[in-house]
Amino acid sequence: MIAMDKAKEVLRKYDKLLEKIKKVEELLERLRKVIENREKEVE
Amino acid sequence: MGEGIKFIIKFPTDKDIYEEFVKLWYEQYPETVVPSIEIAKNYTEKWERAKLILYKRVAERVKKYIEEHEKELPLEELIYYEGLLNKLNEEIDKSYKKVVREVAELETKPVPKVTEDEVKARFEARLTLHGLDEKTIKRYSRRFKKAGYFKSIIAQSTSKEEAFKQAEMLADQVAKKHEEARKKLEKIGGVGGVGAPFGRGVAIYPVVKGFERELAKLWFLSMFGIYPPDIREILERRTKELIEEERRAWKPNMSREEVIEAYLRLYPSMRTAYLYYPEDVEKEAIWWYYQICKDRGWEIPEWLKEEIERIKREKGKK
Repeated sequence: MIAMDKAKEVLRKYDKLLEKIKKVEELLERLRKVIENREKEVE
Repeated sequence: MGEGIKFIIKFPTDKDIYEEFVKLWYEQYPETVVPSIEIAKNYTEKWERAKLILYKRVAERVKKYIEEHEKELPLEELIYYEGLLNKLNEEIDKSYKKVVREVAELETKPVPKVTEDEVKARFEARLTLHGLDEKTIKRYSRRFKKAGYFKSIIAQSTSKEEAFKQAEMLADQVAKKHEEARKKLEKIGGVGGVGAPFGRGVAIYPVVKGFERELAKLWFLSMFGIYPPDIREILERRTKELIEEERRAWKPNMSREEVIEAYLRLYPSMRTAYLYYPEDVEKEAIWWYYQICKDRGWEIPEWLKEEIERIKREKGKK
C-alpha cells in the first residue's frame, strides 16, 4: 500500500514537471521570436 | 542503484544534448551538411531546446513506466525515479532561469546602435591579433557578413560592448579552427605532397575524407563560409555535383556493404588503395559513415557501433 501511494505521489510530481517543461518550451518560443524581431530591426 | 530497479533510464549527458542540438540545427538549416555548434546562431535557444527535448523524453518514459507498473513497483524503485525527477527539476529550473533572463534582457533592452561595419572591424582586428593574413581575414569577414552573422550578433546583444565581445569570440573560434586545420595538414605532410596517404596521385579525397573531416565540414558550411583559405583551392575541386552526389549517397541505417560500396563509388581514388589495403579502406569508410551519422543526427546502426568499438580498441592497442 505504501508503494502504491508513493507511485501516485511520484506520478503527480512527474505531471507537474511536464507542466513546467511546457512553460519553458513556451518561453523558448518567445525567445526565438524576440531574436527574429530584433534581427529585422537591425535590417 | 539497488537490484530491484528494473527500468533504468540514463540521464542525458552533454554529449546527448549536443547530438540533439545538431538535429535541431539540421532541421532548421537542411542545406548544412555538417552542423557546427560553435558557430550556431541562437545558441541559447537551441541548446536549451535540445536539453528540454531530452528531459521531456525521460520524464514521459518514466511516467509511462510507472503508470503501467503502478501496482507492482517496489518502494526502492520509486525512490530512484523520484531522485531522477529531482535532478530533472533542478536542470529545468536552471534552464527556465537562463531563458527568462535572456528573454527579459532582449525584450526590454533596445537593439544596440552599432553598425555591421563596426562589429566587422572588431572581428577583423581580432583575427589580425591571431596572425591571420589580410587576404584570409577579408575572406572570412565577407563570408560572415554574407551569412548574416554580424546582423545576428547585433540582434542578440544588448549593448555595443557585448556585440563587440561576441564578434571577438567568433573571431577566436575561426582562428582556432583555422589553426587546427593547418596543424592537421602539416601532420599529414600537406595535401598530396610528401607523406600524403597513398602518394600524390590520390591527393584530394583521402585528405578530405580520411584525415581531415574538419576541412570538409568547413567547406560544406558554405552558409558560414568557414574554411581555411590555404586549402580552399584544393577543396574547390570538389565540384557542386560531387557535393550533391555525397548528400544523396549517404542515408540513415545503411548496411556495412552499402557503406563501403558508396564510399568507393564516391571517392574513386580510394579504389586503388582498396586493392592493396582493403581493411584499412573499409575502416576508413566505416569511420566516415559514423561521422556522417553523428553529424546529421542519425541513429547509429548496431553493426556500426560494434565496428567503431572494434576500431577504437585497435587504435588503443597501437
